[in-house]
Amino acid sequence: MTLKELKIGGSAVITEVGGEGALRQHFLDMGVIPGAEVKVLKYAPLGDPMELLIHGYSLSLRLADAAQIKVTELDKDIAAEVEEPHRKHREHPGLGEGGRYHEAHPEKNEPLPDDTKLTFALVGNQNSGKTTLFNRLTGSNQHVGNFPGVTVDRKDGPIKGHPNTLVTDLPGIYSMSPYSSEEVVSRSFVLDEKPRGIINIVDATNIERNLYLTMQLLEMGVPMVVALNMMDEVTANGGSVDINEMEAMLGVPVVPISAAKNSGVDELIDHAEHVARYQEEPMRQDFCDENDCGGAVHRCIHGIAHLIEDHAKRAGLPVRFAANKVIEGDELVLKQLELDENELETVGHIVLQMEKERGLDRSAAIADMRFSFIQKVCRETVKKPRESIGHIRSRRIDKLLTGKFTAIPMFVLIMGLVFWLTFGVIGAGLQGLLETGIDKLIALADKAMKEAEVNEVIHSLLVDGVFAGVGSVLSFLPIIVTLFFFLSLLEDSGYIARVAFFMDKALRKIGLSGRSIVPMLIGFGCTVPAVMATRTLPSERDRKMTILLTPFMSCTAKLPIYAFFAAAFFPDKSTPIVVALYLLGIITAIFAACLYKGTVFKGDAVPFVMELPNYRLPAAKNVLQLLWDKAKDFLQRAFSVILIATVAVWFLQKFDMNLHMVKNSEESILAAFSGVVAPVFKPLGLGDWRIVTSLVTGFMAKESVVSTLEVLFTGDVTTAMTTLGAASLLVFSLLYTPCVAAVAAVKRELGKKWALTLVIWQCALAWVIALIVRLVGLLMGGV
Amino acid sequence: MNAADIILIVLITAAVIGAVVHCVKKKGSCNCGCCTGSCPNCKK
Repeated sequence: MTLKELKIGGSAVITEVGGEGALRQHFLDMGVIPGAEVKVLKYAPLGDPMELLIHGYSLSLRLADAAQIKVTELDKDIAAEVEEPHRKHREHPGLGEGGRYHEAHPEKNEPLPDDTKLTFALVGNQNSGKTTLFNRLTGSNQHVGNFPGVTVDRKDGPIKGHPNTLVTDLPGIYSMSPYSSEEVVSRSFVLDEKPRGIINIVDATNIERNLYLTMQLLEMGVPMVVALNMMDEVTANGGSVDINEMEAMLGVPVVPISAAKNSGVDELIDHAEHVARYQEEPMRQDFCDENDCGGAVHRCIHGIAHLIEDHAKRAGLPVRFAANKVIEGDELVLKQLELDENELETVGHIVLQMEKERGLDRSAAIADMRFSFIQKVCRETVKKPRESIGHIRSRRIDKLLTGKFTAIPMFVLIMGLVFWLTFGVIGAGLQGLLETGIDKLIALADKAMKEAEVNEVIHSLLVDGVFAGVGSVLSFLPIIVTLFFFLSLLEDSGYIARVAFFMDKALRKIGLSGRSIVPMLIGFGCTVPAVMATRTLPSERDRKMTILLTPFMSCTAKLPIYAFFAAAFFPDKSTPIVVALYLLGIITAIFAACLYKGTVFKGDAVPFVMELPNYRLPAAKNVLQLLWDKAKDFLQRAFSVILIATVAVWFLQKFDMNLHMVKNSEESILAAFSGVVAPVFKPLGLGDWRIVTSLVTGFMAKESVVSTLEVLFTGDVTTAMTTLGAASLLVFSLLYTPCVAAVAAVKRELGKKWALTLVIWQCALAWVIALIVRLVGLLMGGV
Repeated sequence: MNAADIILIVLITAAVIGAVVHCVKKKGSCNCGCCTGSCPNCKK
């Protein structure tokens, strides 16, 4: 039978893993190997994908992929098994510290000179707490989330109190076989930049899967320390790890820590510094066993290691690592090794013989060898914890939030609540207060300037220009911070990963993968990080398509525009109008996705494989830090880009071509330029040059639309356009080109051609849809 | 032009120059007010 046919609650042992290429390798790396025991936990509300328990963690897999995995059903419940480790009471091996190790290895007694910078790579699985540890080590405040793939690029920083060090936080990876572009970043860093040491962070609550990467890192021969993170959670649930035994078996220092509680981190730093300073390489790199299944894999690895040794040294690759990669058929490593035809043929024969003797194909045999060793380590050292309270709680919450009939209604309810609280209650209320305060301050400044008989031009520049423009944008700070507060709660709690899980089937219909939902939701905050977040997507097609769709998710910078016009033209229906705009953005994205799927991005999204983290209560410090960063960035922006834009707009609308101050702004430089473009917007009911100007400044920063309007309209904006005109302007603002920062991000990810195409395409689409809105409005008797 | 005018002109000029310098320094980097800090340009 296949895994797909296994019922909820059923346990089975995997007998064969089908499929091909990088995806199959990814399955194997995630522990989906022949011999592994699995249990089906549940199916997503739309029937696909399924959630499995394998090696003690939850993995989501599409049914189509599950159909390629053959299993034999088991009578027992694998989740109920708890094994006690075989206690050996071994002495502390003393790795990564002075004393015993150096007595045994006198050749290792020469440390690196004091002025040598000790560089460390912080490597681990996704969602294992790397960024939390990075923040602890460096004292920085990088954003930490609770879904796999928050870190999409490397970040550097010196260890606090250790000036000649540099730690690089790398995106989470499951193995050294690069599956997605973020995994390429991590692998390239370790291979090409040759850090002095590796800090391998291992999630102790999920040790079997995490040690798979550890083994590949050990093969690289780089000095390394294993940081067993979340040990507090393990011990609190009755689990334990025999650290001495594990250290002896792995041949590198093992330090139990809790990055979140800052325990064990100092010891970790001491060991990491020591192994790097003394260049203490792992004591063990050979994990194959000559007695294991006839020793076929053992002989194969050693044979190939000898054969390619000279090539690996020339290419600067660790021999053992290169040998395993050659057996797995890793194209990148094979290319680097430059083996000649005879050698390639010999490798082929050795591998073929191994496959014949072992009864497994090359990739599965290597994965099996690694997991066999891991099982041995775990049997000797790990007492598995009971099901943690966090997991029990997650299961209970999931019954509601990812339940068959409740998932989608709960998602709609949660998002509705977020928007209602942001725009209708908390954010809007605070905005009103801030607006009143700013107005009072402006009135005070106005009065003071009049009393001091300040020059009329300076008075106008300050009151009509700077104060009106910057002040109008500043008042939206509470709404933006409130929306970010809720988005960060959703993200940090682990809910977004669930949304990806149950939306996968629906998103596949429009050519996307469930994982695309993460960048999309981030896009409601800002398009720039959303575009960056697409790096977690494993296929180039999915990545491109998601990047081109994220600008349709209305970012927070557009909020001032909506709030400004909704308050002026639809005072009683502000919240429904704003929510309708968000929905329109989503609907347009669906339409665009269908269009892309049928034209430029033909084909299907790659299969969905994702780990579901436990729900966690977001850390107050983390959330507050994020909100402070957002508020600070917003204020910086208001007093930089927006300030310059308002001063420039004020100048251009106060002076004519001869630099004479004008009484009527119709004669200004701005009116002359914008008047040329205005006819294009006339069919939309937006022929007024001031509106056109504000839309153009919106390309620099979306908030500029409102600040420009405040400067240009000394009177009421409602006199310049009709209600229908305002509606089409709102739609146009929602859909037209993203700001220059977002376009730059798209250019960085996809290149100039795509970025330019995106700008033109979105402007055209926005124009057409705004026109449709106006025409429909006219037909319905609107004005 | 009185003393208040001169003070205000100096303040406005300083603010605009400061804003321009800030923008030039951040040129090519992510200047988005709502960035989550995930991109390389948002290193604090």
